[in-house]
Amino acid sequence: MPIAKILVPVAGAEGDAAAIATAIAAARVFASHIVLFAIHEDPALAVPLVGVPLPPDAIASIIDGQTRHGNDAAARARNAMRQVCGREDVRIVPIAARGAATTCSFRQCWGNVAVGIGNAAALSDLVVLSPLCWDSAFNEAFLDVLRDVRRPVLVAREAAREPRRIAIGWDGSAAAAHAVSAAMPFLERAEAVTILTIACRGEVCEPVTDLAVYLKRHGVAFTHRETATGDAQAGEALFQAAQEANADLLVVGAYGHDNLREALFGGATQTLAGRAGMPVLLAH
Amino acid sequence: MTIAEILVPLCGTPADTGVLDTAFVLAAPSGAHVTALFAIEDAREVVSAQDLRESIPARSARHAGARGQARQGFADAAKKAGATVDALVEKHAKLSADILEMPGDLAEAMARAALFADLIVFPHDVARGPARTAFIRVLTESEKPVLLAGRDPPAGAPRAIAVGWDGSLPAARALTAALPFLATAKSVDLLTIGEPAGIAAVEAVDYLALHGVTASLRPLPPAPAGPALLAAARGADLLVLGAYGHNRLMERVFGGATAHVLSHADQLILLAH
Repeated sequence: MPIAKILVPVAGAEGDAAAIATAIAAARVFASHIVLFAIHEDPALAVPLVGVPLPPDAIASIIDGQTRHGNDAAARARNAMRQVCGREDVRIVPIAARGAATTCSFRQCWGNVAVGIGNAAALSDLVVLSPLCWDSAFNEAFLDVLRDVRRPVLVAREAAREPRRIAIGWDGSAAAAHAVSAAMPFLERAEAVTILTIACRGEVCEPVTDLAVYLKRHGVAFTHRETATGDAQAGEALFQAAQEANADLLVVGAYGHDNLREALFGGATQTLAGRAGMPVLLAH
Repeated sequence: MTIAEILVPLCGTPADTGVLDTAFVLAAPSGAHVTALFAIEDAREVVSAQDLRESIPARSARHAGARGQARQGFADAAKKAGATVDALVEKHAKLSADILEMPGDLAEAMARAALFADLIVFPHDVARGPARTAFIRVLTESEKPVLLAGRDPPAGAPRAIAVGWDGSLPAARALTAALPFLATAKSVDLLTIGEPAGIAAVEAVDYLALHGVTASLRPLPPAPAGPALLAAARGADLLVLGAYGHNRLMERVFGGATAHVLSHADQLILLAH
């Protein structure tokens, strides 16, 4: 079982349900275990450092407030878990265990959010994040997981389908090759795989020969589709081509396509909304 | 992930045999393809760039000799392993191999080829051999498991595996990269090094359990980590280690413990950076 453990950092926010549902869709391919991970900033760190020592009552009240804040978020995330797992018929188990079907467990802890998520991701096979959960700590964690921990991240705004039809956004970069390697367990079991290349400003894109050989040696059949576009719209064109290929999942290098990061995470909410239903698997 | 593609560097030296034999043994269970890469150098470029004393024709002739040796070594190893020599790309259950001769620098070519490989095997004495730069480059840039051949080729897939665990990210990367081997091993020991820091060893044991791998925890005595690791891993066919540091120089890429293990171990070593 190449993907045995999927980590979903949850924030008690709007995106939790979508991230959990997306993780379940991916987990079904391998009967993986899903760990929902709620981590909150250490309450003691919320106490402001000022010149004069704060009265003990004030410190206690700040710590109490922060603790309640964290516990409330975890309670909301647990609620989302119960709802989604109930709907999807996924069993919730107290501790992670290998089983014949997909299971889900919940873990709450306190500490540095980015470090905690990074360490948990280091011993996970896939990390699922919803952009709707993102605050600055989640964003930092996302970049850490990709760059330092080097684990693949599946980003989905809405509940995704089982990844059976997969599109690869190929630009010949090392990041794109890493993303393909990370996606190989899914690619090996896919019904259809399409390599998408974007020819910018009329230039011919990276050759796909190396990638083609790599996929064939893994027994992955594929088709190749090239789209021509202006430079500025490379990221947009890629999403459109993936949608036209009716893909359940788009596999891309995190920093390959220049505009991809912008297209994925750029502030414009409507840009993300335009790609509802297109989950993206990223690697650095 | 199944291991479908194994990459090895060829240098036209006697060390080629060890690395090829190791690659074929590890390729056999999954019927993987072995790609042996030889970099064809431009003697004029190398002599001027490295300011060598050797004349261009002499360097050229020496390199042609190495190329011949590499080809011969590859053909012999493939024959011995019973591998079909063919660049056939389709997946098949039978062992296959091909030799790839590419103009340019070995490190550059290896770094690129590693992107499309599932495992990269380097020779046992890589630290002193011509593939040294390629080894460091692949280890620091690639996310793929990098294996150092043992003193002798293995008899089969590793049965007893020892993992050096210090709770660091490189240790976690080495552990995840070693999964294809851990999954088929008979015994897995997690050797914990030093003070507990970072990711707890029990987390690693739990993670392996999800992959169906039963690992036993064995804390090492607080001795210098290198010799302690080696002693504890004496019976293991494969030692899994995280490598440290950011400097491109070999001496700085590895911390003391890793450097000690690399220069003294006899068995296979799987490294991640």
